[in-house]
Amino acid sequence: MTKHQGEVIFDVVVPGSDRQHLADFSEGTEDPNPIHVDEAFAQAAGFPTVLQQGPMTTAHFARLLAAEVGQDRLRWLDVTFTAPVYPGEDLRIKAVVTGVEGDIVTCALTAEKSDGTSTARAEAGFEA
Amino acid sequence: MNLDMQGHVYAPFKVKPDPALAEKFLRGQGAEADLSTVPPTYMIFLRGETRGADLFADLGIPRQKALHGGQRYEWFGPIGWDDELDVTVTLETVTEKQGKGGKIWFADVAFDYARADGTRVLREITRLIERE
Repeated sequence: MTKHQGEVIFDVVVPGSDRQHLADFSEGTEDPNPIHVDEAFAQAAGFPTVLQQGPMTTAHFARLLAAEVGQDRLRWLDVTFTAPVYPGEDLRIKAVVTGVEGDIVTCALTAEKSDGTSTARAEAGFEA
Repeated sequence: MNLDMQGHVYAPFKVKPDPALAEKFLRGQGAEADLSTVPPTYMIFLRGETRGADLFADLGIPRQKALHGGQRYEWFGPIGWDDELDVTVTLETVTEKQGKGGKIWFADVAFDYARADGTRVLREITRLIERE
């Protein structure tokens, strides 16, 4: 698998999640935090509505990367969450090769809302 | 946040991938429920909460003041559906900083996942944040 610096690995729009998606993801991750499913709780915490789980963005990054390069090649993924995501907000998720060192390819990943707001950034490494 | 928890290591607990939970995990993403492999980030710190590593309670983080700062995954080997993994949780750093709007606390927590023979297959680090 030959990769070059600047190569776009993927650039996709993940449709906004609905509340059932959030509830399923909470159940699937055994996450008891009501902030993802309880409107009143989320508002009391200072948010306009329930929050999409940060790990859902991590999961999108890993799943999309695995689909492109092979899950068994993934070595690391380091994600920083930068803004909350709310139900119905599409995310543009992109991965671009930043370097190749030996047999490891590194890439930068980004997640953005349709207005350009960054919601997460990440770096990852995978076997070439 | 309980700063004196830094360095605490929890008693190991076990986690085995559950296809039913993985299906929910994938459907929650709006993704196809392809269970040919255990999804790469299926293992997640949240599963420790009912298995003895209740981070929010032990660190004293009220849920409504909590933020999730980030996650790091390092994969060392494949994880199969039949792998029952031993999970060791370490509160690596617990720090306090002064932000523009008040104090902010950070906790970096490491989850090391190993097979029964001790072979480490995954390290996950999660960063929890508490706002004042």
